Amino acid sequence: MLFCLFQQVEEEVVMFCPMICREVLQTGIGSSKNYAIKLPQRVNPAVLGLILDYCRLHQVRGRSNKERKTFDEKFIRLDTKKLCELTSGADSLQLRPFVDLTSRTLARMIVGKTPEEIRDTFHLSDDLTEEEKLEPLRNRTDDPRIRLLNRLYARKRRIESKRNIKDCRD
Amino acid sequence: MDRVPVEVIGNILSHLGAARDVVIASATCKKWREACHRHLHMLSFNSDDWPVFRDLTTSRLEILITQTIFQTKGLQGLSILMDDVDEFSASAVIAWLMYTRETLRCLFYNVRTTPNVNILDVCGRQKLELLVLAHNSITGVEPNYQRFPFLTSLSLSYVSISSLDLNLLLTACPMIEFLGLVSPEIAITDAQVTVELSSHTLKKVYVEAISLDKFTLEADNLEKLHLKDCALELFEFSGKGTLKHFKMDDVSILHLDIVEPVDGLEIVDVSNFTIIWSKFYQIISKSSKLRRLRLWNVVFDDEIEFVDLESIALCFPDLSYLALSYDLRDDLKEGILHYSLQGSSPMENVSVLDLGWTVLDEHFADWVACLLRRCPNLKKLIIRGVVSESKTHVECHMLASFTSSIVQLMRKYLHVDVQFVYE
Repeated sequence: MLFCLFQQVEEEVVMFCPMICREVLQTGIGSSKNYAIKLPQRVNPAVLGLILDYCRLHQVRGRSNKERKTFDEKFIRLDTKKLCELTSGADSLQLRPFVDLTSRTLARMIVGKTPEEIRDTFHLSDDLTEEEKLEPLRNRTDDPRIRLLNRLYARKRRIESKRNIKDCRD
Repeated sequence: MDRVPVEVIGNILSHLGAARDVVIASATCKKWREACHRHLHMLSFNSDDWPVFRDLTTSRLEILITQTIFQTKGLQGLSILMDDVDEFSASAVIAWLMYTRETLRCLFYNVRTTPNVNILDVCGRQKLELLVLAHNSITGVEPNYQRFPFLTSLSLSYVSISSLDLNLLLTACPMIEFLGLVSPEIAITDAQVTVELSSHTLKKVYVEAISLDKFTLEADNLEKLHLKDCALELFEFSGKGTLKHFKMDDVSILHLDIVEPVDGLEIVDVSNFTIIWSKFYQIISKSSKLRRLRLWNVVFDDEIEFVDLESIALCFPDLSYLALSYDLRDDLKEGILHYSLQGSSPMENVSVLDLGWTVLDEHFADWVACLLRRCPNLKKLIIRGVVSESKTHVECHMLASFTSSIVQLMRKYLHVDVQFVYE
């Protein structure tokens, strides 16, 4: 049992997180209440609970892929706020497969929506100017490669138009 | 959402894939826009994603792709799969690749480029791990100059390449594990069309729609070999006994030459193939750990006209899945049924039997019964049948009597789960 954020947690479960695993092995923290594992800021107790549930199921070797998939599908039926917190927390703990799972779920919620609908779903602030909203594909001319490409295109257009004029005259 | 760092948002948006969704997401708020510009790692332009792609002219499409790609930084995955586009101009394609090559780890590209772009030239010596290329030509490979130190998966479809260049390409990829070749156009240098591939790191090879006079494969670590729709006069394979999964579908090989005995086979799947049973059996018989065997629509080009169940039972004690198809030529029916089922060694570990017919007759049910008797620990039986669209009276009658026989038969095996698959 390891000590983590004022809770006692089973060792195998917590060691499933690469970041914690490294820290425990390198510094030996978690062995007592006073020397508990310090978690990154993005992991609050609620998030930790959910992450531990995930680790608990997935680290058991006996479970089949189908079981894990069914668990995952049920697990991600959360609201967007919770999912975002989970993604953020899992990312700070470097739990790659979990981050991919929650990110995929969130991406599915974004597909097919208009920007306003996305802002509603995720409670985003509407801080883009009207001009910025209308031109999502801004022509960034501060990149030297883009400037070169623009010059090449312009040259190509000039040659084409010269050729057209020549054809018309003939 | 406010406390989620912008990199995490970038990761979430990378799972969107489709460029149009990414652009829409970038129009929601400042933070998401920054995520799209600085932390996006996957971008995909697929003609199926957005119907408007089909309505745009090629040059407008090129400009759209260029603008979208150039808005990102640090892209790791780029996918341009546009089936409706005839060709992209080389300058645009080179621009996309040069802009992303320093960070690109996987690339999917299937559009012809005019004039031809040597993708290997542009992407060599960088971080590429996965390359899926189609409808392009590879002209000239120089392993000293073009190296792919991280490439583990290479897939070439409808690519024109010379056989020498193909082998040089393999040597230019010191970590390659998967090679897929679909309908390549192998440039003929001499009278024979030959392909010789050798690699110590290859684990899986998939070859489809290729017709060669000679195909030599030398791969010491190969675990899976899958040939589909190939016509090879001579196929030589040499390895170190690591082959686990051998699959051949609709392949014709006149001379099959396997140098090292393959004794580690776990899965053998042969369908629509003419084989010399004795030679084939010799090849696979040493694999006592074989778990899955499938012989489907196989024509035996030998005196032995059928699958010898006794030798299968004795040679492969660990077999847990057996799939056989019932194809008897008219002149041999009665005899075959007797000979192929000779012997009585049980197949103790077989838990799934997959049996099928292409032409149903009155003996099929008996054949199923004999096989059931041989598998005392069977858990599942799958019956696959081909049902013709125009069913004659005789065919309907045959199907009906087969159904009754099976119902009667399965009463003796109540613990076996039966599944019917008809096409």
